[in-house]
Amino acid sequence: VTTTVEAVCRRTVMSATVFDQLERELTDLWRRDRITVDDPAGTARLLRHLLEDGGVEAAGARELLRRAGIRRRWNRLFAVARAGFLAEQLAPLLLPPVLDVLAGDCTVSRALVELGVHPVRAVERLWQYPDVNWSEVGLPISDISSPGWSDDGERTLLLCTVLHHEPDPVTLLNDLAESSLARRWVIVENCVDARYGPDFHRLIDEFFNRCLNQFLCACVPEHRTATEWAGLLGKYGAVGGYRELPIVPGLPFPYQIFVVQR
Amino acid sequence: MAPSARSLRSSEDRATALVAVLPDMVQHGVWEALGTRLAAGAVEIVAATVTRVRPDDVIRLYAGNHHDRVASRRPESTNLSIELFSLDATVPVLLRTGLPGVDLVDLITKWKGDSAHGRRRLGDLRSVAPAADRCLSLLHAPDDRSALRHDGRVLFGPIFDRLIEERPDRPIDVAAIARVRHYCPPAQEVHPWDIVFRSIVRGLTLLGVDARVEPSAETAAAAVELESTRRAVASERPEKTRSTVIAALRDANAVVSGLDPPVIRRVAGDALIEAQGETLDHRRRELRRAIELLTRPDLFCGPLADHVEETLLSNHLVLDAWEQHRLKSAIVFLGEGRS
Repeated sequence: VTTTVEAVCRRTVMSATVFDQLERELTDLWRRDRITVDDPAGTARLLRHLLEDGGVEAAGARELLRRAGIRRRWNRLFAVARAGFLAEQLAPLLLPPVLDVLAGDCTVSRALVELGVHPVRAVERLWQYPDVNWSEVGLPISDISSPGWSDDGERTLLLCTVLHHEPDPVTLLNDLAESSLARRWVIVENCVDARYGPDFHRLIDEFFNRCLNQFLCACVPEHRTATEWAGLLGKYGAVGGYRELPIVPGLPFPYQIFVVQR
Repeated sequence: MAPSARSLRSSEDRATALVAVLPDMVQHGVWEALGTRLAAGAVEIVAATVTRVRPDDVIRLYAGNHHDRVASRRPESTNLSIELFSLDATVPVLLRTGLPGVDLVDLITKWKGDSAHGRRRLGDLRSVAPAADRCLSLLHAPDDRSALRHDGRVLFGPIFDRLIEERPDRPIDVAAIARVRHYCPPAQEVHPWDIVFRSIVRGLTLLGVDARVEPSAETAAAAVELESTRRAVASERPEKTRSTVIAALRDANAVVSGLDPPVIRRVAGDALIEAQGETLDHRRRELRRAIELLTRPDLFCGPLADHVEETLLSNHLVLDAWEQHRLKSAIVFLGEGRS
């Protein structure tokens, strides 16, 4: 499982229509999720201009999010509300032991443990999260490049919004199929649909990982529709248990859950 | 030796921009909403003045962009713009952003939104007002950085080049700038003498924040103090208001008479620029004296009312016809009751 710096740093050119949608969705989301912003419409409009002109790594956009307290409130929402919500939705589907594959900063893994799912272990490309203190994560985590990362008798692999970040998701799935004996894969994705196109998903990915936070995980054009993911996952087992979560705290679009039984 | 275009460009501060708050927005009184919106971009007002833009300056202001084109097609609407500029003061403000890497002129140009009401979008600077006059459309901002100095000189006068070079960074409270106009529709006036207090507050605020006068924290603080007094008087019972007003004005005299006279920020230049400086110096000193007279109810009479009105107007502290009448009435009626 590899990624390249080139893929990570690839700059996206987006249309004005996508920025229009970003502006609308951010305004609605801040209100919906009570991310307190003094002037949501004006702030979203300003942020849109900064991002459109300077790209997602614009220093002005980052500073705006920091100064307005938006970054802190949003990350708190991700760490607590989103993670807790997802853990509640996922817990009934997970057969322990669980391996959370490319678990990010492990907020969902920890929320699962807090809900009583045990044991949960995580793997990640640790170098992609330079600001995370892994010793404080509170559960076993190893680097995905270390030997034996996937062979600890797990019954379930969890891939929570992982696949669309992979420059080559098929290679990752093939690696998992070869190296893990887990019979169940639970996959969470944010799928392309009529309202949320691939460019919008890509822009949100870059906004979260390059602007709101500075994570080095890849942001690549690998978003798919639910049908396309189901088709791909069907090559690895029986795909069932499909569910859509229409409202996810901190996110403008829904999540979709797939369960692959191998 | 005059600086080259290249050195001027390199000395430009990209974090600085100019916005003129136009008469329709000055009267709308949406300063608080505008301040909140600008604060999202860590944008602060660092210099301000007040000016009643003359017709030839309106033409100069728009000469660089759409005026000529519009004038050739729609002379009537052009005339309406000139007419509207004469109805109230314009408040030009110099802005600075604390956001890194931002060209504020460029950002404001995009952020201000369309001048046509129907094409305005939620989140635009112009959309802080529920409606706007199509001719003035609340705000004017230079379309690009090359127009910044041109428009700044029209609105601030020759001091603008110095302001740009000095890069002022001390923020001016938006609430203070709102008090430069301090408009109150007749139907909302709480008592007939409120306009006397508002005139004092307006004058002190201008002297405290005007970029063309040496800054005076003492004068700005006096404006805030008098505004507090004004609010306190407004809550008084009607039968006691008159005596409370007279007592409050006498108390205010102690504050106002102790203030230093305003000192104009001089700009070296040709004979015309120096003569304009002398005129401004005279006007601001007259304003300072007129404010002091407004705290002397023992002197109140018709001629004093005329003098104060003329002084306010000559300092571009616009009073509409109703306000002129109310100010004169307040001064005359308070004066007639003196013992």
